[in-house]
Amino acid sequence: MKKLLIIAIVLFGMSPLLKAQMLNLNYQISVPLGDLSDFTDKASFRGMDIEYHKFMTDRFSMGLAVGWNVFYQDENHATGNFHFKGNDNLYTMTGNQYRYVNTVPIMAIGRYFLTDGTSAVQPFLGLGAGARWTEKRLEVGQYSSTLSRWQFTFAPEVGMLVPFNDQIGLNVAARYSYGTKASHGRIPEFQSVTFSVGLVFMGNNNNSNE
Amino acid sequence: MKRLLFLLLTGLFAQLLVSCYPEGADDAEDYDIAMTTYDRDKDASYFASLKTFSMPDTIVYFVNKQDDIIGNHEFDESILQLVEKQFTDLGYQRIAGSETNKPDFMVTVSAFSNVNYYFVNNNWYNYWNWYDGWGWYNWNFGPGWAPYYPWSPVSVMSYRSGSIVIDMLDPSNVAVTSNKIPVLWSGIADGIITGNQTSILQRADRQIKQCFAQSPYLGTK
Repeated sequence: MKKLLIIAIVLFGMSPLLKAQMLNLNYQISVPLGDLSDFTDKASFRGMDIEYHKFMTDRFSMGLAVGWNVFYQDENHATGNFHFKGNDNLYTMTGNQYRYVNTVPIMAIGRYFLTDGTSAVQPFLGLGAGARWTEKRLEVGQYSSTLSRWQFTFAPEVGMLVPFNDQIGLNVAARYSYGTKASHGRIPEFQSVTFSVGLVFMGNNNNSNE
Repeated sequence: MKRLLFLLLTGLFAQLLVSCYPEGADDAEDYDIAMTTYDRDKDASYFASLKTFSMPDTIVYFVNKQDDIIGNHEFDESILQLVEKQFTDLGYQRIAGSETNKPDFMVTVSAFSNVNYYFVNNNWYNYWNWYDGWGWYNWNFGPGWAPYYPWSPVSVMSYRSGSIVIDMLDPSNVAVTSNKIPVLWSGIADGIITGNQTSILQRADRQIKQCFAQSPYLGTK
């Protein structure tokens, strides 16, 4: 991950050499779906990602995105059956449950822009694929269980880029994410719809600031 | 300049996320849980076949040294009454018991003062040997006797400080050779005798009742 960041930074640093590229920082709201929402069904207002995109042609860009989303839910007075490590008996426990899902998606993203770089609003369609590190945690009373796994993930997206000038713009996007279940379903199949809003820092070959 | 701004924003974002990371439990009460388990070889019809029980009039405190967190016994009587009521409400009858009139099961109520204090060690006998009830059975009751949790390969369990443990014991099916008194059902009101003194009874009431509420297989019907 560190390596990827370095690559992103180096690429950004080389901006005068490249035709056009952008760095994008987003705040994200995610709505969990499917199995994930069985565990934490509340929308997550704790999320962000950092994206780097490089234009291969006028309309097509390739990029990399690293994000972090936190899903949380507390359930008062919930009852569940639990195993303890080294003990195959089921214990029924009632108490306040605190549930957390932390997920870090790392994806390569391809985007196709429906307009060229001169329009005021530049809608795009994208598809990301990669892996996500997901940690699932449950606390009840003094007990807790934590499990984390890698999941394969892909995420189609729609969005738009609204440049303010030739350096800074606004990014608004919606992304559906899917992650394969891991550890025999103990890490649930990941599904969410993520809304991103953020700033885009553009590096174009025709400006001289870098 | 642009890069600096970006880095700044990234840092700000991360900081924001970290600072509003959800926290979980706030006070002692948020940690309270009612925990139950039972011998899975038994079912509701077995529990319905039991009719009578005996119960020592004391909560036995498994304490470390002079641990005074739960040292005052002012709640003992209310808790014992509460436990008795749960069993009688289920249709079981409390009897004094004797050698000729043995109860179908025994109920013991224990309290713990230390998180890592293990219940099922040889010291169980040291705490409970005063109880006459054990004498109604023809065991050679002595040190080494302890309850046996048939559901657990490792018969140890650690509880939070201030936990009340209610055990339903089956003294008529004791494994005399291994000195084990089988446990039929266990209800743990975890951590209730900690925190604010004024709310202890209220919390005990809630958690102990919950132990029975989540065990629908208990009862004479």
